[in-house]
Amino acid sequence: MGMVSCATTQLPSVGEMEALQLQEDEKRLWNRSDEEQRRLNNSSYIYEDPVISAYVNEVAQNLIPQDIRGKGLSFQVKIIRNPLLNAFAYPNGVIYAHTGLISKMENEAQLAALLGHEMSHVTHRHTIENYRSVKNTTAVLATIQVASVPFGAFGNLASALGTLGAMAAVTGYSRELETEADTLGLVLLINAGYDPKEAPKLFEHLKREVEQQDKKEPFFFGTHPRLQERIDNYNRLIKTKYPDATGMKNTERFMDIISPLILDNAMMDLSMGRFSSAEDGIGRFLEIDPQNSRAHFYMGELYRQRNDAADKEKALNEYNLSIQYDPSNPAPHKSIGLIYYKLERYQEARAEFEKYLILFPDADDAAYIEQYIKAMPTK
Amino acid sequence: MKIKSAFYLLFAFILCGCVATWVAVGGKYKSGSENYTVELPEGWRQYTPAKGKLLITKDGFTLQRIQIVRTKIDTELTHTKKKFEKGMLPQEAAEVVIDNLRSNPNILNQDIIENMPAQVGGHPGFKIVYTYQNKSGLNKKGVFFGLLTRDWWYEMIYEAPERHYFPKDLPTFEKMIETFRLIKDAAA
Repeated sequence: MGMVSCATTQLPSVGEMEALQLQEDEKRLWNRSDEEQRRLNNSSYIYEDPVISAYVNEVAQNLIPQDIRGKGLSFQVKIIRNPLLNAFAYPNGVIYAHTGLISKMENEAQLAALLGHEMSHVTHRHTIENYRSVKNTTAVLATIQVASVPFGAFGNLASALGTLGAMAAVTGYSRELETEADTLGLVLLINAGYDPKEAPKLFEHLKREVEQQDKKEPFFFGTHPRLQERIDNYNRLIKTKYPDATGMKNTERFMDIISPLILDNAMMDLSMGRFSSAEDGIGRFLEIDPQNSRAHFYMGELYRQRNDAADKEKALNEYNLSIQYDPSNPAPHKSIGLIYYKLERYQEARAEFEKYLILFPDADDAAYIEQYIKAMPTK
Repeated sequence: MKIKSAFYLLFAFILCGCVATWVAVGGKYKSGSENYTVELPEGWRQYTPAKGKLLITKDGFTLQRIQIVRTKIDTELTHTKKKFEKGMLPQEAAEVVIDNLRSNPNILNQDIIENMPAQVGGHPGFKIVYTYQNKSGLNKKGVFFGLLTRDWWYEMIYEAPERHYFPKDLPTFEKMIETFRLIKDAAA
């Protein structure tokens, strides 16, 4: 956002130091980071899945360059339960990535591209450079105000991040520092053996996603110009420096491990009424696990709730698949019952509602179902 | 002397402003424009600047509030892109309300304690009981009654800190909801 218009004195990167030595204002920034992270980690925003968490951290550990190891800087990745496109790093090496961003990735190389970019902000001490540039200026206030503006669903998370988190997540860094993070991140990606061509693909994919959404997102990785900058930088670097570089993508491993997150994120999209994004997520999950009863049920819910032309038929089809793959799943019976009930096909509705109550006698919504059954004509 | 007069004038102005902002309520309340009547509890006060909604409290909004709002059925909701639709069942409307609550970024640890059908003004509606934590870490509890008519959506909410205040004024709210009536038919 051009927040740091005048470049400050370049600080040595952690790799250039004998051991990590923080300057006074940097120490204060780290303490503040700890505070903000404590608040974030104790909130219900953190996505808890030990397998996925271990996996993303493993990918991050493999990216750490040799000249950083043993210098007193460690990296940790945490996932935030939020469907918007966002990731950011604190100066102490803790990186937060939203489920919304991870769920849009296609392979491990793309995850590594994002983490490499964020890790480079940390290793090259971009937060303190940024902070010094904007300190005591109206830009700090502007950032905080931007972060506090309610951006609609889930967007106000920015205000929960605290100033440092919001600065990194919402405004990002100066164009120069972001370009440096792209350049260095790509080196980390290549050194770890990943295909660098996946980096621009990730951001092209995110750009398409942003263009499809009718509302703009508040975060750095959800804004069109910032994504275009990443795409241009990565394409230029690949073309000029690494035209023949190839490497691993690890698509299958990535999808196997990440797929539960994709489905969980799609549920958040569905709650927010972001139907196209939810449909995309559930569809991707079903490509990995086509006989998953829960995913077919959710797809049915999406069609029933969206209620476009032909959606009823699509919903019924998905519910039937859900039952086919798990006959003990009560949920699709209720939803089929609701569709028939509204179509005044009472006999079929009654049969489905009764099956639902047999399979799930303690259902929270039993009172609704009993009311429907009671209200329906018996013939 | 002039300064003293100006001070008294200002004081009177503020006083008038306060009186206009908070109005003591109690007994029958009729809103012809919103098409409903309801019996308001004695000793509560209405916050009059709240346009388009009935907003009352006894001790201040942080301690308890009751609100009744009527909105056009196709009005966009604050947090979810889902909308109410004509012909929705009360259970489907409740799903939309719950999704709007779950998508609210300003509150944490949202939990739905109860979601059940309810008669609202003699019409089929729903009742949701929920809890959440606000940004200051205070646990709050609320009861939400909803009713869809042909073109309108009514919501009646009672919300208070979960501890002490919520159970204290819940019977008052429930009694008030029993008196809620639409003036014209629900299909209107």
